[in-house]
Amino acid sequence: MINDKQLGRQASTPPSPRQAQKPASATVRVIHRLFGNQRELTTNLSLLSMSLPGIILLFIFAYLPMLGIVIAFKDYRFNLGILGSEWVGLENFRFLFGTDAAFRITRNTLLMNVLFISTTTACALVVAILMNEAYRSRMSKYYQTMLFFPYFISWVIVSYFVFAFLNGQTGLINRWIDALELDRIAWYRSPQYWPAILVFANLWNGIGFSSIIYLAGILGISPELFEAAKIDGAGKLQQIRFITLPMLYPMIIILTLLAIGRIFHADFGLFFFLPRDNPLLYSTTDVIDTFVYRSLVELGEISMAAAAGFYQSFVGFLLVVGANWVVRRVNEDYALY
Amino acid sequence: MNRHRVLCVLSVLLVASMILTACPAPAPADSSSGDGQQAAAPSPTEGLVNITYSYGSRGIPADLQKVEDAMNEVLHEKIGVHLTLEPIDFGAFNDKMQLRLSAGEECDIIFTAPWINSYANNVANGVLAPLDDLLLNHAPGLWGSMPATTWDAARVNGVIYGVINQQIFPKPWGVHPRKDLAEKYGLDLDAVSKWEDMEPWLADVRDGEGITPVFVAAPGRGLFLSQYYGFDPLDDGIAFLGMKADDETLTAVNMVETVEFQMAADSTKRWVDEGYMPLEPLPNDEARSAFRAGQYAMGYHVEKPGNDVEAQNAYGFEFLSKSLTVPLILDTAGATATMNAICATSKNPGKAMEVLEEFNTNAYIYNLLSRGIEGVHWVWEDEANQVMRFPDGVDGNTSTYNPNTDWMFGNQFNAYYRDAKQVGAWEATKKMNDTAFPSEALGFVVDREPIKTEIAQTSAVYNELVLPIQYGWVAYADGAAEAIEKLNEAGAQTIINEVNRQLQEWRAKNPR
Repeated sequence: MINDKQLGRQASTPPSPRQAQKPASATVRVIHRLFGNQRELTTNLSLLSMSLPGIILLFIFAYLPMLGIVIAFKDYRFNLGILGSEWVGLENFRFLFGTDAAFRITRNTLLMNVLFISTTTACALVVAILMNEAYRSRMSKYYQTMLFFPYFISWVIVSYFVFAFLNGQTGLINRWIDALELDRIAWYRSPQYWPAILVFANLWNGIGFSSIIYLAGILGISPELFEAAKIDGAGKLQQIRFITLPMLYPMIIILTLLAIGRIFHADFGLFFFLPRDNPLLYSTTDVIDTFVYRSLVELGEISMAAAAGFYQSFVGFLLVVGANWVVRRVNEDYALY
Repeated sequence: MNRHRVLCVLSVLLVASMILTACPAPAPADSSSGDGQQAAAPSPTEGLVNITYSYGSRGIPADLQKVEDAMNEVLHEKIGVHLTLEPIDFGAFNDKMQLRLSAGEECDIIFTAPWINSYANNVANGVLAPLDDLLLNHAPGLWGSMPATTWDAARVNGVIYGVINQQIFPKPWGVHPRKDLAEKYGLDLDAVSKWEDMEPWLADVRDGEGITPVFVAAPGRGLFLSQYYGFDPLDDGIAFLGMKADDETLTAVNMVETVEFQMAADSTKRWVDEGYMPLEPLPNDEARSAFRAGQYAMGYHVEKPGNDVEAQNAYGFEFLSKSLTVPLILDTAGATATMNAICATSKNPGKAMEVLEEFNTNAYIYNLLSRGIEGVHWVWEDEANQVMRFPDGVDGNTSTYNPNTDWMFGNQFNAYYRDAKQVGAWEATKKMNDTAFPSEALGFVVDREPIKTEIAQTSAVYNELVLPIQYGWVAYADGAAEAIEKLNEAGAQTIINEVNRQLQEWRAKNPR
């Protein structure tokens, strides 16, 4: 009991973004939340002013550049400028859809991101719950750091790790295979293995970050709920199933919705460097971002790159709106807005 | 106008946000030398015209400021110019230059080439100043240093936008085997006239030394090198496009469909299958250290005069070198491989051209820029033959000024030799340039504008389906049909038709 109380105190310190503590606040629409009423504004003035730098940066880097979308519809020439360049309609979008690669890159991007989102969410939840159980342990900080660390390693460097494991001549894995007297696998010419390799690498990279977000969510759950469940005789698994997971649903859904918004954007570093831009692996590793890079790197055509970016963002936007609509149909409380 | 400015800034922000990760943060140590504007403008510059020169560099040399000062000592007096050197690390050079040019930032002299800071793109974007009049009025020496046919290679729609740096123009593709292994396994290089003649020796080296003899770095490399097979590639950005250099009808073709490509692909496949070439090449740096460690026996590259010495400097072994490309072909891409151009935004294009005149005709200035200061960064080994060396205790890696990019700054034939064995290499190179067989399309530059969608599409297909054939991973017989079909679906024929139309139009304006 004492320990649980300590836990409760600790739990109140990390900022937990959206919690189930105030289920009512989740239902308030975004607009209402942004502006609030007069009293809310005065009470929250200091908090609002603290968020101002962030809002300004967001405006500068996320909203102002949106004007640049016009480039996607123009034949952009440096000396003519954005306004002076000629309008060309949808001409710049043509290269994306002109070949049957369009289907493949769209499929790969979507499928790989679906795999990433589902595996990361599932594994991060498991890790977060495990870390929560070990939260009082002396080693917990160590575990967290260990899991978080890969998040800071550049994909370029990771690609060398992967190469050291997988390369045909001196790769570690092929040496193990030799030791087991099995047939070597030519990883870099076998596209069928790469979805699994990429999912593993993405998980290795991202799990620390996601699990810490979920851990913060779990720590935000009122300890009284667990205490009450314990008194009623609920075991650990039952507590997880009936308290932890339901309380985390809003958070899981919001994070997933946000991830769906980026589902048309593949992580360029991951998909470009790990397969080493190897043509034999394109069938499973080529995504929109790498395709666009490869198509335009020689040409240096800003308009066509802008068209590809616009296409990705536009579809991502539709998907977020659609997914949110579905969520709202199921349970309005969980929707993003 | 004001709104226009704002939009410009916005577009820069947009681009910057996209490529920010590619730009390294400016190192504080460089600020004194790199951003010369404030640092390098003390009082003596009054009455002088400020000219900046932006070029690619492997890191920023520590003694940049000293070299700049030494150059300015001459330039102040001679042409009344204060020159600011602005080296940009190669890794960021292309992005930074494109960003600056797209923002309309003022600049004077910039390095431009078909392969970096793209000349064709820059001309299409109108960011380069036309140079014909400037050359005649401000740089007569430079203008006279090359025949008119060479200058024609830099013309786009009849106008010169770039000053060609004289160096090796044709591509003498050939081999440089290690001398010790060539002797050990009895290679008679004189009897070798094509790739395939190397095979018996390669087999002996493979068996005798237990190594994969041919140096290839990732992602891979094949034996199909257009000029070796008599093709003028016309445009580096359209990989499948080529024209037989002696084709008087000026007919561009899809090189993948040609028998030459098939021959090269078959040989490459055989070399990979036989273990002459690595199946999974190491990344560039690792492959180079493996070469230094003796893991390869031969490289194949542009075997220009003196390449054996360059290879020796790079890998530590003694090399033989022989070009197997007969005849040598002078094509547009080769002649324009490295250029300096003047920005359309330059306030003093005339003075900038005078600086280029100095770079190209003043051996003292040129060697200051490319080699540094005598007695500090290099010393004479044999002044009569113009051979220099590093001072005692200094080598290429520890030198405080060693850009090692002679070909970037001006006429390379004015460079001092780095090794006594190289003496005479410049004359030999110049002879190669002068005697090379000019491609029928020398001077022709593809206008990519009407076909850029098709270029983007075919370039993706080429990388996916043709490169594995070219690198010897997939047999020509197995993959070529599909590759050609997919190339055509992606618009290869449209490109060829358009290029052929442009070629005819160009021929009408430039009769033989």
